[in-house]
Amino acid sequence: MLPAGLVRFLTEIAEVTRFTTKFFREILRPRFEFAEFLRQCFFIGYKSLGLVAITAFIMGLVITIQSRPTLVEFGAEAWLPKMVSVSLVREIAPVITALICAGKIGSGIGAELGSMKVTEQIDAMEVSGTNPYKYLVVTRVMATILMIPILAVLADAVSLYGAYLGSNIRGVVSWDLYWNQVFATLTYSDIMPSILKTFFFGFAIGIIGCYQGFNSKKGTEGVGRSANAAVVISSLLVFIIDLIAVQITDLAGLT
Amino acid sequence: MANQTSKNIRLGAMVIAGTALLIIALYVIGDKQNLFGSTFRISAYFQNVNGLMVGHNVRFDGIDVGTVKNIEIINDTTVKVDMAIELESQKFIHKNALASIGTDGLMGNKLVNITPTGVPSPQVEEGDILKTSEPLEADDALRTLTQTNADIAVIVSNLRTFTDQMSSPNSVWSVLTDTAASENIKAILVNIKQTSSYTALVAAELNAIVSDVQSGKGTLGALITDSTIATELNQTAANIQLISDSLVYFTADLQSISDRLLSGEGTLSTLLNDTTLAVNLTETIQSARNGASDFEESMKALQDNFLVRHYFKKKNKMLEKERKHID
Amino acid sequence: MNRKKNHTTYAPAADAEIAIQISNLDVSFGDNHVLRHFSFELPAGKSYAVLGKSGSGKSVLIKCIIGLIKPNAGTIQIFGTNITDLNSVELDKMRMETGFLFQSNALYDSMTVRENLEFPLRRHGIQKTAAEVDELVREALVNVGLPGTDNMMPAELSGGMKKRIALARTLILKPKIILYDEPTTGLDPITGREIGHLMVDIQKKYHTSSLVISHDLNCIHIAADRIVMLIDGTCYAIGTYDELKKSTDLKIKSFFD
Repeated sequence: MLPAGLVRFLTEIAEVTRFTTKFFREILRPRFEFAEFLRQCFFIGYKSLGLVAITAFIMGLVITIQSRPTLVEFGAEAWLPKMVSVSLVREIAPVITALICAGKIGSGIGAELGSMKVTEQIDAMEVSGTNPYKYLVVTRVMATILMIPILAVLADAVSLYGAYLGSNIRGVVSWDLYWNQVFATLTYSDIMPSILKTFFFGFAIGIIGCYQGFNSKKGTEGVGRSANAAVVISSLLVFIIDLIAVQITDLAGLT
Repeated sequence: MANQTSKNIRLGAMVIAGTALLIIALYVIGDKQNLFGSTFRISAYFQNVNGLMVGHNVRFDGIDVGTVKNIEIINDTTVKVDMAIELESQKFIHKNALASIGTDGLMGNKLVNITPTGVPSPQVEEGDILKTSEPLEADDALRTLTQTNADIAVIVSNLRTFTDQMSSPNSVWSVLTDTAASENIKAILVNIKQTSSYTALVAAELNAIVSDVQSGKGTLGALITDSTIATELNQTAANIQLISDSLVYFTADLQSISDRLLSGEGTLSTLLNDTTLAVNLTETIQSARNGASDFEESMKALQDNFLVRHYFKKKNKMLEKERKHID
Repeated sequence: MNRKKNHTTYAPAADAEIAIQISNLDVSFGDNHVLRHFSFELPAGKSYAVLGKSGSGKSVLIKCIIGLIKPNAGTIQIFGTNITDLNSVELDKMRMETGFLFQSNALYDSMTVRENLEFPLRRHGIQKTAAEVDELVREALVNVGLPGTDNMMPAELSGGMKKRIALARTLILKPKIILYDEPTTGLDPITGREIGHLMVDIQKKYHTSSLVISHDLNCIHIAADRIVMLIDGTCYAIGTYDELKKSTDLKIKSFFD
């Protein structure tokens, strides 16, 4: 006999898997809720822009300032833009974006769908001739899948700008030289895998938020728990996906 | 509805900004790698590409003008390297330009250097095959220097015998003892000794650097791909080579003189009357002096920045040598 | 039984005498048997109430009727059509004629009152001009006694108003049957009575059949013609308020004390 905790865990995994496969089934069926999708894109993408931009800017600035002393020690100060741009584009900007979104969007979706669940709004949709999975889940997950990569690209740009300012706090790197060095350093194998993985980050954040919301237990406590679980699980998933992505790019020889 | 429209406009602006940034970034990177824009292809055959890979830069006069597109082994001693070069650079590159494989900084990426020869020639065309000069490794440079050093040592010992004989009071050579010639020969000896010790020093230092680099220790400062330093180092390395060469040259002269003297072929009278020999000797002494002072300068330069860069062009060196001959 | 007929389309008989006919309905969640062989009929144009304790399966019953929960066995016929085997498209047709008032109102928080009301119209793909939609919204709001609240958000409404708006949203499709899930829960007795009277008004105006799930005797007394006693997962007794109140059965008596 399996321990009760393991049974619960495996059941949960099975439920998440079923919920996820349903996404792929439903997205192929006709009637895509385009208006709702746009609305969700606005909330998920546009409304997170400020937060993502501020975080990315600070990360770019801070990473640059922190990396400088070590490079100076080796007399390799001129390598600052190269080193910082690679770490920002490959890793920091996409992961920071995903984590911010896991926090903001994941909890938002978890709480919104959770409260819709407990106040029977999801059932109400179903009796109003609407497939709630399509209307609520597919639109949100599609929105996170498409918006997080865009946010990540913008975060790349903003964090590189932050790094530019960071390089100029103690040293002098001209605007032209900075961007020249950045683009001479970056290659497609830096950008492509890092953008590609953000699609998966988006999918994980969206689907976990929706799953937690849809399976919210009755009462306000259940809603809170859904929001919390959405953040915790999607943040963890972001790191796991990142780990897998790094392994794959490494195996593909793109490092 | 108007509210929704304004939301859609803002969302659209964001999506377009994000996508545009990505496309611009991809374009700029692609442009740096010559993926877009018009290029033409030229090739070169090397014996050894020293780890050159597809995608490495091609430089002409130190400017990135293209990338390596394909590397293919033709046979056991020939590797064909195809390069895509920007069309804009075509008019500057001539058919007789030389391709060589170099390194961007001590530990940087490999690259193909295209060096003009200065000799008039039509501009390159699609599919042309450039002549190549094999890269001169640090080890090669050391080997040459050590060889020179050994040569000098032999000559010095010959000269010592020669002067010993001259300074012997019983010998007819004593006639020459107070002459300027004798002084000059002594001066040569001093210079040559000095030169040889300098050369040994350079060799030792080069050796240390090379072993450092090989053991992966290498001063991190050397990682900086500062073109100014690179040029200076290049220059210094070229100078050393030049001096080594001229040392070999006048060493050969001295060798022939001392050979003749020692073999008894040249008698005193011959020595004194043979103006050609006298002229030769004076010339040799002169060039030895020049060589020594050149060497000193180079050593100073070397000591100033001892990150010796070892890649320099054989052709350049040969030209320099030729000029030296003409001078 | 009818179950073998396996209807795939929803084809209500226009002159059916019976609005809802439930036969031998079994619903269980794991080992918890909520409904066992539950059967009853709701004649067209009548208003019945289902009375039972909390957790007795009242909500499960009403959600089975609207197709939100699939029963394990038994049939539910609405105007003669078994709805337990319908696919989602056919279920939607049935739901256009069967309104459902949720216990927690289920107003969409992110939409205004007007958008809430328009939602079922738009989602059921009913083609209406803007003027027709305006008229329907206005009419529904007037009929629940809340004209002019179009642009308010659900959060701005009181509990009773929310219930009325939720009812208006149900009415906008002009249903033939309305299912009320605990319509007075969470409301004060006075508002509860108002809602009860509103339900009676609505039934007269819209000529609906209705089924009320509640444990609020006041409301049931006002709004229901007959009461179905749901005890131990079965239809224990059916009768008018007065009949049942006089009953000597202990299980029934406990509700009226």
